[in-house]
Amino acid sequence: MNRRDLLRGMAMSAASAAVLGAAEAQRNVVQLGTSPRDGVSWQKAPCRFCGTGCHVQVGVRDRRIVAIQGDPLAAVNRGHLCVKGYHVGLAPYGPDRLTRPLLRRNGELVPITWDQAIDVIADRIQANPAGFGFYGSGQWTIPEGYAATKFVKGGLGTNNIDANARLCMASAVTSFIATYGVDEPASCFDDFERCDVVICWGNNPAEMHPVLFSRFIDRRSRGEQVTLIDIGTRRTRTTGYAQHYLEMKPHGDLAIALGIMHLLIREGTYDRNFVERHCAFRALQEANPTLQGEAIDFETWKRRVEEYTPERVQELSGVPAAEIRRLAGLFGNRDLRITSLWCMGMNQHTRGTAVNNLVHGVHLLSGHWGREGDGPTSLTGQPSACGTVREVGTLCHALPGGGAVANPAHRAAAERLWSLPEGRISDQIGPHTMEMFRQFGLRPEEGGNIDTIWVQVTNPGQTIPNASEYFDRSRTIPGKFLIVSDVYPTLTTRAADLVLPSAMWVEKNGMFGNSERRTQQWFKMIDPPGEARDDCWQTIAVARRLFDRGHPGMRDAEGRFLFHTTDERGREVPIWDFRRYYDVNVDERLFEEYRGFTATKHKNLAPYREYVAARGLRWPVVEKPDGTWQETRYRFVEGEDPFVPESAGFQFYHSTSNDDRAQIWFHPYEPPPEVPDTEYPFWLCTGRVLEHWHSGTMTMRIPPLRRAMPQAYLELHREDAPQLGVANGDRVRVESRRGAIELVAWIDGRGQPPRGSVFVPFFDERLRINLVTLHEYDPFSKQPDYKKCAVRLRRVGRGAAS
Amino acid sequence: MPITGAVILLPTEEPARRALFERLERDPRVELGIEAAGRLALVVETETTRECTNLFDELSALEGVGAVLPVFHDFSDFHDARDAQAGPSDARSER
Repeated sequence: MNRRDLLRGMAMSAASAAVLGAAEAQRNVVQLGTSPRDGVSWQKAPCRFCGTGCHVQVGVRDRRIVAIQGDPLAAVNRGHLCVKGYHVGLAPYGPDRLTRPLLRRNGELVPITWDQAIDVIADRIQANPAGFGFYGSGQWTIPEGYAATKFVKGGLGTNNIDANARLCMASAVTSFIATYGVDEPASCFDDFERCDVVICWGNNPAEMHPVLFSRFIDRRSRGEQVTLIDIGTRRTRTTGYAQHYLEMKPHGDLAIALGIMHLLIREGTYDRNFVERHCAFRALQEANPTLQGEAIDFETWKRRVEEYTPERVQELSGVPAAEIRRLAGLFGNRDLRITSLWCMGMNQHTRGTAVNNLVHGVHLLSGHWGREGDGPTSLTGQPSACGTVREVGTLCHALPGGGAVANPAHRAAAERLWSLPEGRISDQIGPHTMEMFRQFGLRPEEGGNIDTIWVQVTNPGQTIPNASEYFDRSRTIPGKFLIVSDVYPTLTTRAADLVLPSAMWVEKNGMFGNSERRTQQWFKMIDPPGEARDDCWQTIAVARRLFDRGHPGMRDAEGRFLFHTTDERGREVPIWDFRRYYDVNVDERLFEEYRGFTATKHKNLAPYREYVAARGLRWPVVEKPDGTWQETRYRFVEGEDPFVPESAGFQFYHSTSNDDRAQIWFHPYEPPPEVPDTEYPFWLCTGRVLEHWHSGTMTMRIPPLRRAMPQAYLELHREDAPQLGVANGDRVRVESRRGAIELVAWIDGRGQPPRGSVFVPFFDERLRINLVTLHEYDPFSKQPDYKKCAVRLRRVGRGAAS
Repeated sequence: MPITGAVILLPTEEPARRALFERLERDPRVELGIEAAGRLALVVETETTRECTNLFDELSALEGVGAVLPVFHDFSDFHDARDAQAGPSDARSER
């Protein structure tokens, strides 16, 4: 058999395994390890891109990735891939990888050694430790995020660390905490196999989480009846699969949820038994509102939702009253199983915490909670937004395992686990993302206390809203120093003072945690190019340099290095020396240390070795009497969650009311902070596209994906276009009160915004829509709203099609 | 040439199924595999990866097709082409 025939056979085997399901997959799957027939070595890894957490098998030959197979043994994707996952093996092979550290001298980035680069960072930190901020992302692996958190909180004694997940799911976090007392979804992706109805709240999973969405479409292909209701501000690919499309005005989601609640009460179709046993009611205080809010009684709560009649909701949301009644009718029917899905639409929202709370409240009030297929499920956009940012706690208020820096017991526990002197961890919450970059853009005398930011695995130059104000301005202020670790040149590296070349994905060991609490592990398979090195090593190397210079924070209570690591004989391994970094499995050491935090909020994790063997495990993972480790599908549910006692039914054991109850919140409808007017008459919504992942730094370097979607565009309605004198392909200036860019018009394109509304994707660094977007953010989550602001449009040039 | 394994989520209506199979069977790039539970396995061999994704886009747009999901992708040709473009010394310099 020649190689081509062999490959065809492997491809058919993989496809057959995906068709036949897990049992057959066991027999047909490409065996991990090296194939003697073609010399390709196969190892498992989660996909590098979104938060679905698909597993792939990576084929490596001659130290290069040559093939990718969807892992048929993975519960998340069952062998399937999306177009990005299909190309993920090409992500490391863009032609312009960063391969050497670069320092800006006389305006130019010039090569320096790693040793010099580490010195530069150490100098900056020592000059003003309180002015140093670390900014990462949900693409940090779990050990990378853990090391960064320990470095800042345990070493520098500040909380000046945050992550770009602030920009994508912080409102989900605050809402989970406000509703259940603890972050992250209680349900899981198994819901897709059991639900009768899926409601997408401002969510487009057909493009953004396509493999996950295919699990639902797969059921239809088998002849099952599943209803899809799409609630959104523009028609998307998801709309094409929906039986019902409810087009709402921006912020209409608040009103829709309130309207459903109103009808459940008025019609008496709420789940009285569930509510009486398991729920309490809550609202914001009138003065100085907090995320904790204040308890209110059921009668007070009912009075507050009274005004949200279907007719009033129609007025506020634009969704017909009959559709509100339809939704309430579905929720009033306990025989159905209803899954609510959301992602950026509800999170990037100046009332994101509120609308998240209300959707949880709809499910709790109606008793559509805690059964397979029956509950609220938020999705994330990054591969480890949950595993790293939310669970490890790479946020300015957080500690690993769900702890909070404001909680003295959590600080004490962290100091104990890190062997730190008492009082090392600061109780002062650090600057969140928007505040960190605001301060970075101000002179010290203006309150700009942050003078150095180290960015790892993200691209704020492209993704921060109102970018000229919140990113570009800092580049004009003397004394502000930007350090960026990345794999490719980006808008952020181009603006940086120091650039560090990083290893990516399977060029290093790693662990991710996906949107359903599933922790995943992989091993390094190929070498990074040139002098590129692991982000985690970079952090440890800087910590060591500070230790060597006598920085007291880099020593634990016994005087040892903060990242003290020993071999099996107890001898210290100098992991700060990159030549020795892989002498031990640093990921395993850091993960095992991190595990010590995870029982605090019942986010228990298994030993590292269990993740080596598995295609991910959903926490809490607990050891059974027979020594095996058991994952959890549904939290707070008897028989599923190991921490819920028998006969409890449901138990919200982190309840903010300390009575094992979840909170059903009331929040009023509130209008968006900026609405179209005569000067800026259009709504602008921004977002992603199927082919590109976030700011496009990887996918724009994968030739087939770049060709499939080569540049950003402006979607507008076919009836708005002629009034503006715009035809398909014309160049249009999109301008807000903050900035402007020019884009090519696409009428009747992939997505279809309603009249008076336009959409622009943010993946294209040449067309930076975040010069235009709004920086206003939710008061609790501090997450900005990229989904709605006011713009005006003007044709500036004819396109080829005109 | 890139070789891709994929799964099609099939239409439930018979006319749409028939049209899909007719389309696939007349395409020399496509080899059909097993069908079960509304899914069909296939292998596609194309000149370029782009040609393959174009084919998937076309199939996805056919009436009743739920999705076309790739499951296997061999792209060793990509490295061969890049090596040839870079020349023997450059091709090894970054490794």
